Order: sequence, then C-alpha cells, then structure tokens
Amino acid sequence: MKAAYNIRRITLRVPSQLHREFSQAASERYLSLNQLAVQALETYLVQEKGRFPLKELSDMLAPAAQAKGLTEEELMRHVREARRRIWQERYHQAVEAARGL
Amino acid sequence: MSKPRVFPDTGALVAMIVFPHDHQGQISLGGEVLQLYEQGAFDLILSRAVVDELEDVLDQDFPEQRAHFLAFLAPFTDQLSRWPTPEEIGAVLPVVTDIDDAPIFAAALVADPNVVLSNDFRAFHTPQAKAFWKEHGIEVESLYGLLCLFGRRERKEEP
Repeated sequence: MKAAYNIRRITLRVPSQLHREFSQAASERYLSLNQLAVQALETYLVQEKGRFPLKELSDMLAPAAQAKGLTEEELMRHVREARRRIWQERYHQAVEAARGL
Repeated sequence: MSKPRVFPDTGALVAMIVFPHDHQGQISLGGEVLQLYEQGAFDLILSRAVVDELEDVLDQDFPEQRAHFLAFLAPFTDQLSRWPTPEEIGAVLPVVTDIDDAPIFAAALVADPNVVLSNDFRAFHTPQAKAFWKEHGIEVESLYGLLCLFGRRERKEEP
C-alpha cells in the first residue's frame, strides 16, 4: 500500500454531463470516482507511450499469483488446457467445415 | 532500422507478465524480456487468439483481476491482430504437432511478425515448425533466444 505522503491531490472542474457519465461508469464498475479517475489517468499515460500496458498488468498479476501460490508450471498447464478448450468450442467444427470434412 | 515485431505465444506472455521474478525474487527470463519491451527494444503484436487464451486462464486463476485486465486492455483492442479464419487454420494443420496449436500458428502468420516468441519447444521449435517459420520469413525464439538477439545472453552451442 502506498504511503500517504506519496499521494497527491488533483482537483478537477468538469462539465456536469461528464460528471454524470463518469459517476455512472464508476458505479457500473463498483469503483469510487477516485479509483476510476486514477485508472483513467494511468490508461491515458500508457496510451501516450503507445505500448501495451504489460508492466501494469504484471504489477497486478504477479503478486496475485504469488499470493495464490501458483507456479509457472501450473499456469503453463492451464494455458494448454485453455487452448484445448478453445479449439474444441470455437474452432474445431468451423475448421472441419472449411476443409469439407 | 525499424524495431523487430515480436509475436508472443500465450505461454511466453504469461511468463513475462505473471512470473517476472523467480521464487527467490530474482528477475526471470520473462522479466528480462518484459524489461526489454518496456525499454522499447521491440514492438509487440498481440493477437486476439492469444488474448482469448489469456482471458480463459484469468477466468480460472485470477477472476478477481479479470475486470481490471479488460479495463487495461480496452483502449488497445484496435491494435490487436485479428483472429485467423478457419481456412487459415486449416492450412497450418500439417505443420502442428498438436491440433490445438493450429489457431495460434495461423494467428502468428496473420500478425506477420519478425519473431515468434515461445518457450513451448515441443510445439513451436520442432524441426518441422522451424522450417515452417523460416518459409514465412519468421524467426522463432525462446525467451532466452530473444535475449540473445538483443545481446543480453550468449547463444549456447547446439549439442
């Protein structure tokens, strides 16, 4: 958790319509206005750099994996299982049909 | 010279973002590749087919993080390379060891990268697969191999 002295305050003045829509968006995501605003700012900065937000995803997923005790071997096995499942559910029939089988 | 365009297999992507450190806290090969990406050494091409698999894994192992993952990725969906067609998948069937891998092989061709990144040696680095990538002007590298390409490691001698 970030120390309080690492938090800075921004006060924004926004049009009421934008405020309404932003509040609605936060509510739909079960987030506070502040949490959604922080996410939006992070997303903006990542987009500005023109790259996929892999570091941000890693900062979220790596601690979660550690907390759950997931190993790389387990997760690789789950990737293989996901691949098999997706093949069966989405591609198998369509590919067979395309091949005239 | 333009940056290499790298297409990660789902497993390589998981190694980069979920396991950037080993269990002793040392940076892993995936973590080093992630660092290279953050430093702008290469461009990444993510396929919708790879994101599908990643989402499936998140559903199973990280359901609490799924919404955040989608929120992070949402602004970039127009940068994802498209799903392969059934015909494109059918065309790679003779090359794959395991039929399940065909959509990812086909997705890689669709993405037209310089490098396919995968640590799945059984599927992506077989002699047949290597010949296939070469035929399409694509190099296939492991995480270690990609680090070699950027001078971070030295190639090991072939046995």
